[in-house]
Amino acid sequence: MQFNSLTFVVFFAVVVTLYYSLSSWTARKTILVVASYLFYAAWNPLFIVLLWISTIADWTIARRISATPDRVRKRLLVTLSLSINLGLLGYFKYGGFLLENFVSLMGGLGIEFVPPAASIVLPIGISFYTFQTLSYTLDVYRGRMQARYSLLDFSLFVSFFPQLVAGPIVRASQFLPQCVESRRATADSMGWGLTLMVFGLFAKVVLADSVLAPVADAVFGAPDTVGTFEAWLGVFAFSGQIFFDFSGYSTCAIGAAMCLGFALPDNFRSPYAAIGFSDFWRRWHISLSQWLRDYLYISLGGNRKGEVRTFVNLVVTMFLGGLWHGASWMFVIWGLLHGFYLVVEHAARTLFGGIAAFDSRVARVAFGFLTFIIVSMTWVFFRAADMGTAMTLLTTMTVPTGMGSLVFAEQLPAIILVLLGLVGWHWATRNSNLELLFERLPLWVRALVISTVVVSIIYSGGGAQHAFIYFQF
Amino acid sequence: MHLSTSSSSERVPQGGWLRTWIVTLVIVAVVVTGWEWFVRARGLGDVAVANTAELWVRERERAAALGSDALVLVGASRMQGGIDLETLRALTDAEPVQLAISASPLMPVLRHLANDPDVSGTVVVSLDMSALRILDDESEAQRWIAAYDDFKAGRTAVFYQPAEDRLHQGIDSVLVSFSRNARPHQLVFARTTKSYVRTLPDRSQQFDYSKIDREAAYERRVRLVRGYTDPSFMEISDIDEKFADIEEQVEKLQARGAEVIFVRLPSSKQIREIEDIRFPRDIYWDKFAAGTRARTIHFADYPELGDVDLPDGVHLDASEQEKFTRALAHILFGDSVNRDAVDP
Repeated sequence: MQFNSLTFVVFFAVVVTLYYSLSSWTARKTILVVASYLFYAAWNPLFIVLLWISTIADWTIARRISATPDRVRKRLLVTLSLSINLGLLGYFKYGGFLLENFVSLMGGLGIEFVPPAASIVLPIGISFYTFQTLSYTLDVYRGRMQARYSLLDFSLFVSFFPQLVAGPIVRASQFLPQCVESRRATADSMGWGLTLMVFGLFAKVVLADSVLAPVADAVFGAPDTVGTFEAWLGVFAFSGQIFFDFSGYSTCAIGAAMCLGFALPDNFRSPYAAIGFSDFWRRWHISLSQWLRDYLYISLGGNRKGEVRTFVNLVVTMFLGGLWHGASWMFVIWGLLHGFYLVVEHAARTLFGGIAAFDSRVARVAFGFLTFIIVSMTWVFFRAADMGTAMTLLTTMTVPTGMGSLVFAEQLPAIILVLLGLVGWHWATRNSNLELLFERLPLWVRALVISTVVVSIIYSGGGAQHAFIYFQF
Repeated sequence: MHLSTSSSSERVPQGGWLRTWIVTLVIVAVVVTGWEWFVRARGLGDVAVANTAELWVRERERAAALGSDALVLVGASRMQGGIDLETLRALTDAEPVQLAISASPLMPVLRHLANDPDVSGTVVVSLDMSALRILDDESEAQRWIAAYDDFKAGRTAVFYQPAEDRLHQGIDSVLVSFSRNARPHQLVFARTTKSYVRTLPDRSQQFDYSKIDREAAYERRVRLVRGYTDPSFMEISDIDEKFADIEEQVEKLQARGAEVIFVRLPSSKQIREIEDIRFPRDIYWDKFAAGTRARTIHFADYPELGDVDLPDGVHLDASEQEKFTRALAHILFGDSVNRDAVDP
């Protein structure tokens, strides 16, 4: 069920009413688990089975790991958990991709291999909940958590509907302790939670879908028909679209959880005001980058095994981070490029780290601008359907061919306003946040801002609906 | 509890949220009610639904589910705005399904139907040669077909879609200001003066030219069709391949019992002149009609089809829709037209 659907509005109202009408904490948690399964089943009921497999497997394995003092047995159990989770993820997400590449490889060797026709449907959000359940087993294995939570609590952690299909990726250590005692949102939390939900929807429905998506779709759909100006406009539009789309979902998720008395971690912190790529990844999809850092990069040795190994670990981590987004070489290239940028940045910091001029205000803004440009150009590989489209677009962007036909002339002011507003807002809130701003606003200004946002959402719906981009991951 | 990472829950702006939301809801209610009143008072908007991919996907699914009972309409805006489905339903035993897509080529939809073994009803295709020049790959049709394929493959299976549709239809039927052409930003930024096109829940469209300046609409259409140069013969270099492609789809459909009928819908005044110069009938239509195994109907051969009000030279006025549909149904189905429903 999409947040930007009327069905969700009805669903959420019913769930909140039922949730707060009961006094028993166990009954209320049961309501949330049932609601979460309904929420997931709204796409495809069959895939609930995968959720159950993931839930029961990791809950059982974690308890066994916790109970046994035998290191070998612990290792075997964690391997079993990894095999089940990554096996499911691998089959559903990468099965077709691996088969396709195997066929190509065989073809290259002169062997004609025709696999049986199979259409593997990707269960929505599988990458998100797989990483969540894995965090629990791995934390228990590492002795950072006790496997003392009930199956009901663990089921709620895996399936909690506000963040089930597109994050933030919540760690077991962040969520499960919240299941112990009864939770009720305060009036302030409820008010701010609802506000975050409408802000998230505004980002998605109005800014991403209505203003930016048509431009990005048109430019990426026909890259050989646009001029240099349009190509840049389309690429910046996608930078804005993917931010508003994904951060919009995260904001909705955080708001919905808050209304139910739960706290979810931040997932974005003004990423387009990042100065450098390490900074970007501390601000973009924070829950994924922290997961990759803690469970992959550090497991590979992090920066503890010398400079060359650090570089290799960075590239491997970003390669797998790219692949996490989807079974496509385009995502791999996107991840590898970010790995390369991180390596270059680390090397540059070692070489030039002591130079004071690089720490000046002007230099920081220049580096921030450069980071934004490079991040935006790298999105081309993320968004383009194939390498040809990406290269055509990048060529058009770098070899001046003029303004193009300017088919977006009428929408141009709105597009530029939204993009400048986005980057300006990120710089203005680089070390701040929305809550600080709202804290200072008088009641009537708050109401005016929120009502403007609500009215905009109401009157921008009904056109072409876009699914949240991150649902496909 | 405190999270190891920061969370909005730890920074909740304090105080006055109940009052904030009460004031917010009052403002929203006032704005929505006020806009609804304004739109109704000015005769803007209309009770209609949005002409979206979701709506097309739903009808496309119906075309397959109905099998041989389906009467599938394919084409562009002339077809979408030319047929009154209620009238057609009353005149035939078949169930009409409107799959025409404005400003889109017909081939992607025709191929899609031909390759679907569940489609075995009657397929009526609006064919005008200019549509054969639109590139298939860049069309709305291609995107909506992809949306349908994704839906069927379960990639976007949404089991709550019927509930979602009902909620939208409920709101759309009550609030005129929710119609696509009556929203504040459309009126302010797009300078739309009046909404004259409405899409009904069955995807048929009505063009109500009484709401706009008919002459201006006609002049706009002529400018659009004519372009900047005098009209001259347009050679479609690969026309034989295109006809062969159409015929391949016809054969596939006919092989499983489907009937395929191509219709050249009417145009008038300067638009017809331009079309006749660019795509002369003897070079294009007649050649196609001679080579196809499907039935073909050209409006010029049936006075009753040409005897209609096309304010912009292309699209039928809504007031003529029923009359035109009756005329077309008689030509399409002859004696098998439901006599109980014939002529009011």
